[in-house]
Amino acid sequence: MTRSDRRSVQSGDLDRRALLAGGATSAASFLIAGPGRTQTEPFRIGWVRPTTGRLVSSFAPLYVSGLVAVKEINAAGGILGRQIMTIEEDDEGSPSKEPAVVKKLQEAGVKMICGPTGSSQVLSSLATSTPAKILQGGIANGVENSDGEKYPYHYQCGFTTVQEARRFVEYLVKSLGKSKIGILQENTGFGEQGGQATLEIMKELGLQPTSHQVYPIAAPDLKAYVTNVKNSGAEAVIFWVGTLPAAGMALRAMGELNWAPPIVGHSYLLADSLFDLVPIDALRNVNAVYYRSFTYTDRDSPGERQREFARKIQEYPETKRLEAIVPQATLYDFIYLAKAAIEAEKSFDVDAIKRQLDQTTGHKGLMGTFSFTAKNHAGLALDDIVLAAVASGRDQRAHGSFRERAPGM
Amino acid sequence: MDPDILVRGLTAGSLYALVAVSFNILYRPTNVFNFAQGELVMLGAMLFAAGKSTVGLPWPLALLATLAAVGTLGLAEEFIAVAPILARSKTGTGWVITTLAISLIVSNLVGWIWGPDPILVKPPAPLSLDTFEFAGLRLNSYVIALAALTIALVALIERAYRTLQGKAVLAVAEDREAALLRGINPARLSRWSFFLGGAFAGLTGILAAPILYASTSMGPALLLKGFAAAAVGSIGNNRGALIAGYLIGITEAVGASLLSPGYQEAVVFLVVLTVLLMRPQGLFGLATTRTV
Repeated sequence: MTRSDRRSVQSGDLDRRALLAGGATSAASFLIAGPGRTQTEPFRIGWVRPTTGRLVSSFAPLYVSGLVAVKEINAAGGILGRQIMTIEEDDEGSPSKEPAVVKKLQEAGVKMICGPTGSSQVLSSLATSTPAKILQGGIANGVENSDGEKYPYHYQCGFTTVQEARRFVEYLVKSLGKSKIGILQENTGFGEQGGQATLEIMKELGLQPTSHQVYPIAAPDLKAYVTNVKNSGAEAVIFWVGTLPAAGMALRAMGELNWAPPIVGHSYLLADSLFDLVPIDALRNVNAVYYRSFTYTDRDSPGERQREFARKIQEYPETKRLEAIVPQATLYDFIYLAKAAIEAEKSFDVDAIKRQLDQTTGHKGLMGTFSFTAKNHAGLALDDIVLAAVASGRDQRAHGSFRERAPGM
Repeated sequence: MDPDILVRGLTAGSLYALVAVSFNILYRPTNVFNFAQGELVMLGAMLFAAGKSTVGLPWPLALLATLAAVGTLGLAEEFIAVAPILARSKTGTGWVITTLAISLIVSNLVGWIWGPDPILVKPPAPLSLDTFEFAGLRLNSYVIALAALTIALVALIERAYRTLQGKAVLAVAEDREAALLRGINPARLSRWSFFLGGAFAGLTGILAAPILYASTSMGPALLLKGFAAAAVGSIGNNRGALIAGYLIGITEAVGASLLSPGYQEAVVFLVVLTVLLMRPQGLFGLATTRTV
């Protein structure tokens, strides 16, 4: 057994005893039946996430949807009779660690990876996983990761920053009739990509932001930036803000300026703890990007599959107060998409899985409908991405994971 | 020019000055920069927030418990990460790595215990963050109290250096061996300094929490600017740290207003660089000659 095997985590999927029992069974079948043994060995999936460092607890909830999928699939008999086993490797959330982590998983014979988290981290890992032909589902919104020609083995099941930006701009312009829009953006890769996408989509509509403020991620005060956006005459603001303290500081600054324009922003605004930082009244005009299937209206409710998922994630303590963040990491759909491809091909060969995935059309996933081509590996349909009212997190209908869809979506 | 610049500058400047002073408290008798100081600030905020919101302690009790806890951690750091290095060589610089290691350990532990969510810390009554207008400025009572307390704390520390113990610290800072010959125990002073420096960092975290929220990310945000304030104000000089803290805070706010907030980091570091190029000993330090 390799060191990676020894470090594997078992989160309701396949435990060590079961693995040993499986190993014993495999050994017995080998003795009896010969080389057909590989089909009874567990299907090992690399699980790249920080288990040490500052980002452990912030990233942990993002892997829960994948754990739920693994548990469900194993309980239903696995993939082509093989149980899924997760092989966890610690990347410390650091892009510089990714190549070594992927290399280690490659040496352990892993052919599919879930993670890492973050656009920079995913790009860094792809530099190693792509030539190694490892199937990968990273947790990131960066659009570059979904270029199927550049990264043929990476599939992005969540929304991209371009899709988010399109939703933001179209909602403000077409649904709310606002044309004077300001941008508040953090100076990270995520913020840069989001800000750039917003500018391009506004340009398509013949618009320019009234003000485009970029703040350092460690800024202790955002009032100067917010003041500039307000003074520019903005009637609405797009938040490319990926951390809650920054979101809280920006909203508080708006309160101090007696300014409450419509705000649209990234899904992290849906975290329940935002209610601790600012009064609910400050959130009345705030909408965040989310999945249509996890939203409700007066006439529409989330489906049974989504409600079941929302119940299941509550078994994981790391999701507490972050239930609306868990679906953002679409490992659930990635694993099920891979399962469908493996079963269609009746093979675990990576090129066969990729061939099948690239032909996926209209796959009904948990978060939405997925279609991939060899070129486009951002598979989620734009229609499945909506804006949701942040303040609805306090509604009885929210049940942690669900939010009210913004009017007109 | 936006008159609120002054308020923003004073708010940030107070926090930078407090971090700078906490550096100085440790540095004077030990000549050691504690690179875990930012994380001790963060730990103070998190412990206090947990004590207030989770345990439900009253403000004064939560304050005392936090100061004792962070001070004790500072003391432990001295035992584990600094004293063994200095015991081998008084001029050894291994503490750079060991204090960074402590920083990582504290950061990981706090993230593991409290998770990623920031915690709201309300100012103690009757102070509040509700703004009011005064002479064209948008102020709140907490910011006024923060600036006043910062100045009072620096005055108190400066006064403490005039006591016998304080003079012993200055003597050790001047010449460790000579102080030893005069019957001063530098090792004991070093331990006390780490305890007090830790407690002061904890206090800084508590004072910063109502403005920045208590979160794992607040340490790095304050560490760099606090260090810059300590350097510009002359390392070890608390009055210098106070003035430099406000200088940096106001420069930052003016830069954000006149140029663009995006340039405020660059403006601050340009000012720091210019000051240190012209006066390497800082604004309030005396150039010294050394015979070799």
